Amino acid sequence: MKIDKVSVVKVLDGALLPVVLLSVWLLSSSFHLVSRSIFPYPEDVWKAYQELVANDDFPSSLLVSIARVMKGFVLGASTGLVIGILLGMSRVLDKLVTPIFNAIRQVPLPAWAPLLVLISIGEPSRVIFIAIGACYPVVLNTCEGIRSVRNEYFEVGRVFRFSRPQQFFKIVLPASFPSILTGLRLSLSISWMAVVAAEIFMTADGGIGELMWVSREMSRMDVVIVCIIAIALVGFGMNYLMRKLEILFSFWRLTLKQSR
Amino acid sequence: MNSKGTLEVRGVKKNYQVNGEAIQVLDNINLSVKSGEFISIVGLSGCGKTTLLRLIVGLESDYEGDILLDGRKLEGPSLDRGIVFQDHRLFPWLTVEKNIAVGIVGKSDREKKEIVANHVELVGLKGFEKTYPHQLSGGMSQRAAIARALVNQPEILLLDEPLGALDALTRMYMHKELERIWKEEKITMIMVTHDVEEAVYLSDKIVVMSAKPGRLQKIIPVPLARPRDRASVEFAEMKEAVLEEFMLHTEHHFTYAI
Repeated sequence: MKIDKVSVVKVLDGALLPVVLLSVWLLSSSFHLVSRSIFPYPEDVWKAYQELVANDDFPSSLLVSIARVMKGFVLGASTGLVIGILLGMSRVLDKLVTPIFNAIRQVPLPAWAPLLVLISIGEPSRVIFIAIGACYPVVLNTCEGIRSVRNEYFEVGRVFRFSRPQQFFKIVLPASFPSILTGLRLSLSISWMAVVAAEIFMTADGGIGELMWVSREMSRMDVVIVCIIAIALVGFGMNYLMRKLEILFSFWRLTLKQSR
Repeated sequence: MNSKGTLEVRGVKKNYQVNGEAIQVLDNINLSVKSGEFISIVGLSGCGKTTLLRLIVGLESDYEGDILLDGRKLEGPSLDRGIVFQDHRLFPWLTVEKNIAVGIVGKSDREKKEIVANHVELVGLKGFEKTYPHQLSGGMSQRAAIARALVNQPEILLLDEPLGALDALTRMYMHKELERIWKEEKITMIMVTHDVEEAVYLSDKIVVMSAKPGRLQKIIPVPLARPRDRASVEFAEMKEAVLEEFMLHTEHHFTYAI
């Protein structure tokens, strides 16, 4: 693989701040500026990490959470896709459904927890919790993507006498695909945040959120920090992969300068 | 000789509703186009020339009068009329060959491939089949758009200022290409343009339109032999004759006579 100068500089730029923060942390701990029990030292966190990996608490918790996210994401995103397409394609449905959708969207995700726990205890409630959060960005971006398909393209379709399905599959879907992918990326991002919330608000068996919560109860701040770093890294990785996918499929929307 | 592709426009009137008020864009348009003719419609912006073209292709309905193709009244768009828009309107998510194939109806995959290959060849885009529109120059995009419009072997090809966005040299080159394609395909072409030289170079007849409301001002036949020589006296005179319709002809110095 060819490594070009620009991307190396970009990675270095992005790494600058984390390195500075890590240095501040290292320095403040070596000069004992912060209470060790409130904000553990880097070496404590490193030890906690090794301990967690050794007794298999950590990777398994992470895997449980990732599996949970995938279930919620697939359920929420596919529902969102269907709703988004319907709202984008039908003026009538748009008029009837969009107001109530916009109202429901304002409810903060954790506010659903009490209701969901009543409906079902256990895994389904947590998956639905994630799915609710995952659904919104897909609905909004799909709908917006479909509505912003240029009328000029529909005229081309009319000239070739496209049927409704042809119009959908040959114009609407490909034209709004980049926008749909943006929605999916945001959706996955929200799902990952939601899984941690779900595991905290709705007692979970396993998962990184639960591990974090239990450790907090036991005042193991070192473990909590390991969890926070892991959550951030996994989230970053998911976003990165989705962004790559998004760029791959929206090459035609990029300007010449960006595509170089 | 092929009798397909004759167009008859009879007493066509068209209004647009703007804020509840009817604005007349076309008034009493009468035009007959013979099979295989190349017609240019020339006029200032706002004279309704594009509207007329959109009526003929079937993208606009709701007009008075009749438009007949081979004696049949038009009803909406149909594959017997192809159109090339000013902005090429290729689908940016498809390669050139897929763009050209997008309108082909009722053919097997093998036939499709053959039709696409033939049309890529016709418009001179060989070697660019797999490129995407954003990688093409304006002239090449319009070539692809012309190929796309021709795949269903329409009787008439409508061209809405197809070369308007191209630079002068590319445009002159495309004039030659368009003439070649017109000869090879032997179809009727109707082109909207505001480039008088372009109209004189390509057309059998030039239709001059006046604005507000859009009316046919004059139909000027162009009897020059092809291929036409832009530098010839006859060509210049023809251009002058068209420009005269717009009061834009070269001023002739007044000669004093006693």
